[in-house]
Amino acid sequence: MSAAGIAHEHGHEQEHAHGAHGHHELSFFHKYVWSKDHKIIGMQFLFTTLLMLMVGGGLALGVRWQLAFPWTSMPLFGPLFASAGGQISPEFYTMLFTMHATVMIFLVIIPILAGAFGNFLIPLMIGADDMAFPTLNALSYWFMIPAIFSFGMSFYFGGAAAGWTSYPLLSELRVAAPGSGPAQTWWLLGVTLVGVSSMMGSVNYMTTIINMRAPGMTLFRMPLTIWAMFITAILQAFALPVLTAAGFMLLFDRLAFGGWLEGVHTVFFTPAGLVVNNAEPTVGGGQPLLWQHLFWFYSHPAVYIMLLPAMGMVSDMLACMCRKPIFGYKPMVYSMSAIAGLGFIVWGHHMFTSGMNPALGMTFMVSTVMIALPSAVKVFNWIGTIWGGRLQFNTVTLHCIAFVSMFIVGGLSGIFMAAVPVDIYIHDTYIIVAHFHYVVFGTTMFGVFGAIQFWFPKMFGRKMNETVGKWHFLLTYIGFNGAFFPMHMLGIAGFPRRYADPYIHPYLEHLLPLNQFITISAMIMGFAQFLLLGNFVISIFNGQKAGRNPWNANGLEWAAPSPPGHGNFDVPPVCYRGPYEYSNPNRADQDFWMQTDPTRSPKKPPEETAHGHS
Amino acid sequence: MRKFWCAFFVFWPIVAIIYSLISSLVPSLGWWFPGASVTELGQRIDNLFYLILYIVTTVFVGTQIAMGYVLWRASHSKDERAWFSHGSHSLEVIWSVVPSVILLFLALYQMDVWALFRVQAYFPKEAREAPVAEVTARQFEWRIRYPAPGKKLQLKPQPDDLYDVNDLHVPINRPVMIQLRSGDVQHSFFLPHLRVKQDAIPGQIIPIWFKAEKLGIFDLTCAELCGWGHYKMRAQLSAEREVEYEAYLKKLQADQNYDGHAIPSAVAKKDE
Amino acid sequence: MSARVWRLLVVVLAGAVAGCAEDASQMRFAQNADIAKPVHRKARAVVEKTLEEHFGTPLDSVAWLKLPVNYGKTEGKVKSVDGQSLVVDFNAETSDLESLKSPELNRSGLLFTSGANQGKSFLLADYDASEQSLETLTALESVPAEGDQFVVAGQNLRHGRKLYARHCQHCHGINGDGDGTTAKYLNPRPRDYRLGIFKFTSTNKDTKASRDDLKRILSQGIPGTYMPAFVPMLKENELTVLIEYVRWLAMRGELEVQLLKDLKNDYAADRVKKEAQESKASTSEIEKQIAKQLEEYVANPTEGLAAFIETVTGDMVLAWEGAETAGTVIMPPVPRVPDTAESRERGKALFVKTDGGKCINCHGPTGRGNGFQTEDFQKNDATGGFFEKRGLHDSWGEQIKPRDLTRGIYRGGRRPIDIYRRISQGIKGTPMPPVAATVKPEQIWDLVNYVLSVPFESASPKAAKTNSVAGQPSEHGNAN
Repeated sequence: MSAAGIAHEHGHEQEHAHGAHGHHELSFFHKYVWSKDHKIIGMQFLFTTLLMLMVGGGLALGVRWQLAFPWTSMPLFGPLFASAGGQISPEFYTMLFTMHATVMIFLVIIPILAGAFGNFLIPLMIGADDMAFPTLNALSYWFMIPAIFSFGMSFYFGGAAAGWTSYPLLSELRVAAPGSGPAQTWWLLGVTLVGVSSMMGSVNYMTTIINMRAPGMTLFRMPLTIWAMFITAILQAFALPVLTAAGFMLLFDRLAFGGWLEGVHTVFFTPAGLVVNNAEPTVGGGQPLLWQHLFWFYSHPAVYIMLLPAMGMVSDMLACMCRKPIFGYKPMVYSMSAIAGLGFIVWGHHMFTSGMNPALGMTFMVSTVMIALPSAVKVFNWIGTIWGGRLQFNTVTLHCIAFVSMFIVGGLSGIFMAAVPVDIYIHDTYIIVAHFHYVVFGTTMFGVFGAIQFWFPKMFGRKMNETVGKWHFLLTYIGFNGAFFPMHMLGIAGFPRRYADPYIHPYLEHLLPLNQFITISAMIMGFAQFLLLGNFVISIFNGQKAGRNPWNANGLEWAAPSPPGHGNFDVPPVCYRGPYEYSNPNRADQDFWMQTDPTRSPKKPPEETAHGHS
Repeated sequence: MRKFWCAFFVFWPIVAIIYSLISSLVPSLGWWFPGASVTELGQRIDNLFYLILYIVTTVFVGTQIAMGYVLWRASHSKDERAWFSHGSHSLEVIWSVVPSVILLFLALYQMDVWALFRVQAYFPKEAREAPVAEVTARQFEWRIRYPAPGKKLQLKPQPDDLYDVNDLHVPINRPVMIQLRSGDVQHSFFLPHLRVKQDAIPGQIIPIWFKAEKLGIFDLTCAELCGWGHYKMRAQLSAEREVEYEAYLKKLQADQNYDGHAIPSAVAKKDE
Repeated sequence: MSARVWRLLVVVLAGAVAGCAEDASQMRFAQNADIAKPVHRKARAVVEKTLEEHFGTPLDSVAWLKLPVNYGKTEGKVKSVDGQSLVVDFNAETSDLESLKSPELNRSGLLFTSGANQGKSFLLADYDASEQSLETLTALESVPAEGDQFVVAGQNLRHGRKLYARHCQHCHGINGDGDGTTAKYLNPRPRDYRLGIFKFTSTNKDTKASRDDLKRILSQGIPGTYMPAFVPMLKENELTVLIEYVRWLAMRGELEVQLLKDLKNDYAADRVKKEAQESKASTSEIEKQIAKQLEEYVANPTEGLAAFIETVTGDMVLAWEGAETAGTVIMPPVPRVPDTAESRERGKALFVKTDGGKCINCHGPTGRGNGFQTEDFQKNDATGGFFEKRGLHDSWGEQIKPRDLTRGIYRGGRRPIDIYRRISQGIKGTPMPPVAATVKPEQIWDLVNYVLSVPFESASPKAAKTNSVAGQPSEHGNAN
C-alpha cells in the first residue's frame, strides 16, 4: 500500500485513488480501531490527547492547590490522604508537578500537534490519499498506548518525582527520592515509547511531504502548516535519538540486579563517594552534567517541536480569517527554518547556573538571544497579515489573535532568561514557569484550540458551536492570563520552582495571597476546558452541518468532502497556485482562490502570483 | 461585537502594563525584587534586568499597539475586499536587521558581568586565595565547614575544622569565596538578596564569590529540585562585621571543643 | 448560558474556600496496631476512650487538664468579674504573654489554683488583650473572687500541633509513630515517639530526654539522616511549643502501650476462642462476660482502670520531669584528657580490647562499623527469641548498623562532650551500651580522642586509593 502510495505520485492518482482504496468495506475494528487511515489515526491521537489534557490539567490543579492552600485537604481528593490527616505529602507534591509536565509535554502537546494535526492535515493539505507508510503511521499511534500504560504504572508505583527533567542523581539512585524506584524506570520506559512513536511519525511525515505531494504542489506552494510539520519532523528525527540514548544510559545506570549479577550497572552519571539515604557510598566516575547536556539537546528542540506546528496552523487560519495572503510567506518559511536550526545550538541556556564551563555560557547566550530574531520576524509578519485584512471575529480568529498576543509575551520574557547574568537570578524561579507556560500553553494551546475549531468541519462534517466556543475562549484567556502573568512577579520576587511549601521562607511568606489568586484563575481555566470538551463531543453529533469548504479557504483539504472518505479526494487534486490567494484582484467574483481551482488568471499565470514578492 | 473584541485584546496588555508598573513601583506589595541587591555585582545584574525590561516593554507596547491598530482596521474596514499583498521586502529587511542589532548588543553587553561572576580568572584575588568556608548541600540542609581561625581552608577536612549547619557567616565589605559541594544529589545555592545562584553538582567543587555590602541576615535557599524536602532547605547568610565574624568563629571553636568544663565564654546560641 | 457559568464558578470558589480548613474527621489518632492486635476489641475501645479523655484528639488536645505535666502555662489572677467575662491580670514575669495573642487560645484551658473554683478547669473562649478580659467556653461553676489565682494552659500544645502538622507530620505521623507518608522512603526511619525513647540525650541512661536534648536535635538536625536542622526555619518560641507537642505525643503513646499491655493479660483477642473450647460456653456468653468484666474494671475506683492510669501516668510524669533536673545530666567529672597521640593510642587499645569497652565487637577493628556482632543473630528481648535477620536491632525492632566512625559523621553531635555522653551512657534504645560502670572517665576521654581521630587516621595512603574524581577521600566530608 505504501509502495502504491509512492508510485502513484506522478500522475497515476486517478486509478489509485479509486481503485486501490475507495470501495471495499472495512469491519468496524479495521475502520475505527486498527485503522491505517491517516484521518482516523489523527482523530485517535486527538481524542487521546484531549483526554490526557484533562488528566494533566487535574495534576496541575493539585499543584496549585498545595501552593495556594498548603497542607490542607484538597476538595474531592482530600479523602484519599485520610491517613495523613488530609494532607498531601511533600513527595506526592513532587510527583504531581513531575507527572503534570510529563503528561502535558509527552502525551498532550507533542502528540496533539504532530500526531493529531500532523496526521490529519499532511496528506489532505498536500493532496495525497494517505501517508507514505500507513502501517507505520498506525503503529505510531499504538505505541502511545504502552507509553500511557507506562506512565500509568509510574503513577501506580508512586509516580516519578525527579521533575520532568529527571536530573540524576535524584532520578538515578533508587534511594535518592520517593519515586526514584520502579516509578522512574516506568517513566523512562514511557518516554522511550513516546520517542518511538514520535520517530515513526516524523519519518513518515518527511517521506510523505517529500514524495507524495499532488501535481503542481511545489515546495513553495505548500501551506505553512506543512512547512512547519516538515521542519518539526526533521527536528524530531535529529534530536530524539539523543534523548533515547540518554534514557538508556540512565536505565543502565539504574540497573538493580540481584544474585551473582548484583552491582552490575553503568555509572555514566554517577560520581564516586556519595552517600545518599545512608546507602553504601556510590562507586563511579561519571558526570551528572552529561545528562543535562544530552537531555536538553533533545528537550530544547522539543520546545520548537511543541511550537512550530502551531505557528504553521495559525498562519493558515489567520490568512483565511483575514481574507488576505500571509504577509511574507518566504520569510515565514525561512524564519521557521532558522528557529529549527538555531534550536539545536541553544540547549546550554538551560544550564547557565549548572557549573558548566563559563565560556559556554557566553556562546549559548549569543545563540539564544539570536533565536529571538526569527521569532520576532514571525510576529511582525502575523501582524502584517492582519493589517488591511477583512477580519471576522469568530472563535478561530480569537484563538489566533490570542496566539500571537501570548507569543509576544512568552517570547519577550525569554530574553531575560537568555541573558546569562540576569538568568543567574531568575533561573529556576517562577518567571521561568511563567515564560514556558506562555509559550507552550498560551501560544501552542491557543493555536491548537483554534485549529480544532477550524478543521473540525473537515473531520466530522459539522461545525462546532460558536457561542460555547467563545465562552471557552473568554474563560481560558482570562484564566490563563490571571494564572500566569502574576507568575512573572513571583519570579522577580525570587519564588523558586517546585517548592511544596515556599512560605517557610521569610522572603516568600507574603506571596500566599498572590498564589491564591493564581490558583483561582487556574481553576477558572480548568473549568473552561470542560466547555471545550462538551462542545467538541456534542458537536460531533449535533453540530451544524458543514459543506466542503465552510471557511472559503484555499487549501487542498477543503476540496475534499467533509469528512473525507477513505482515500481522501473524490477528484484527484492538482495544485495550480499558492495557498494564500485571498482577495486576489484577478478573481473578482470571490475573495478566495482555491489551490485546486483550475480557473486561470486573466492577466498572468498563477505560478507567478503564488510566489508573492520574491 | 467587533468593538468588544478589539477592546478586549487591547485591554489585557494595558492591564499587564499597569500591573507590572504597580508591582515595580510599590515595593511594599512584595511583587518585585526582594529589596535592592546587597552586592555590587547584584546591582549590575539588576541594571541589566532593567535594561532588558525597558527594551522589552517598548517592544511589547509597540507590538500591542500595532496589533490593536491592525485589529481595529481589519474589523472595521469599509473596503469590500482585503488589501491584496504578499508582503514587503523592505519591511522584512528592516524588521530583521533592527532587532538583530539590538539583540546582538544585548548579548555582548552582558558578557563582563557574567565573566566577573563566574570566570575564576576574574574573581577578586583575595577571595580566590582564601576561601572562607566549604558549603556542602545535602538532603535537606546546608552543612558548613570553616577553617579554624587563622588557618586556611583545606580541600580535605581537618581535625580542627569548625562546623555549623544552615547558617553561613561571612564578613561584609570584602569579597569572600566559598567552595560549594553536594553530598548527595544536585542542589542549588541561591541567595536571592545577593542575586547569587550556583548549582551544587555531585562530584564537583564549585567556587562562588560575592561581596556583601550590608549587614544583616539573608535567606539562603535551594533552587534545584533535590527530592521531597527541596523546600525545606532553608538557611541563612549572616553578613556581619569582621569583629563579629571572628567572634563567631571563636564561639564556634569553643563550643566545638566543649567538654563540660571549659565553659565557652559566650554560650553558643544553638546550644542547650 | 452565562448564568450557569457563574453559578458553577461560585461552586468552584466555595469549594476552594471550604477546603482550606483542616478536616477534623481526617485528622485523628490511629491505634498502635502492632500492640493492639492481640488485645480484645472491646478492651481496645476502652483504651481509645481513655486516651481521648486524657489527651483529646489532635485538633482538640486536653492533656493539661488530666496530667500534672507542665506544657507551658501563663499565670494570672482575677481582677474583677464582669458578667460572663473575667477582667484579669497576667504575671508578666513568669508568663509568655505573646502566647496569649495566638488564636490557639480558643479551647485552651483555664485552671484555678485558688478560690472557690480551686482545682477546677474550664475551656477558654477568648482573650481580649486591650480589655484584659477572658471569656470561658464552659460556664464557671462558681463566681470567682478578686485575687483568685489561675493558670492558662494548652495553647502551647495547640500551637505546637499546627507546626507539627506542617513540618513533622509527613515523616513522624499524626500519632508520632514514625510512620508518616514519607517515612517509608527514609533510612533510618523517623523516630517512633510512642516508646518514649529518644536516642541522643545528655541525661543518664535511665532518664528520659530533656527538653534541651530535643531542642538540640531540632536545631542541629541529625547529621547523616533525613532529620534536618530546623533552625532558622523555626523561631525560638516555635521550637519550644513543638517540643511540648512532641513530649505530649510521646506520653500519649507510652500510656497507650502500657494500657494495651496491661489489658492484654485479661482481655486477649483469642480469649473468646480459648474459653469457648475449654468451657463449652457460647461465644456470645463469653463476649457478654468480657463486657461486664471490663465495665467493672473501668468503674472500680480503687483497683480499676483509674488507679492503673494514675500509677502509670504518675511514673511517666516523674520520669519526664526527672530529665529536667540538673542531677540527671551527665557532666564528665574530669576535663578532657589532652588530645595527644598517647591518649589516642590508649583509646585505641581500649577500643579494640574485647573485654574492655568491647567497641570492636560492633564497630570493628578500624571503626568501620563492621564488627562481628553485625554478622550474628541477635536476641530479641521483646519476644525472647532471635531476630530474623542478622545484625543489630534497636528497641523499635529495626535493623541498625553501628556507626562507621571513619566517615566523621556523629549523629548525636561532634563535640567531645557529646561523644563522651554516648560512650559513657550508651545510646538509648540501641545495643550501644553504657560503659560508665566499668570504664574510668579518663579512659572514656581517651576513647573520645581516639574516636575523633579515626576519620583522619584512615586518610592514609591505603584509603587514598578510593579518592573520588574531585580528589576527595570518599569516606568523609560528604555529609559532615
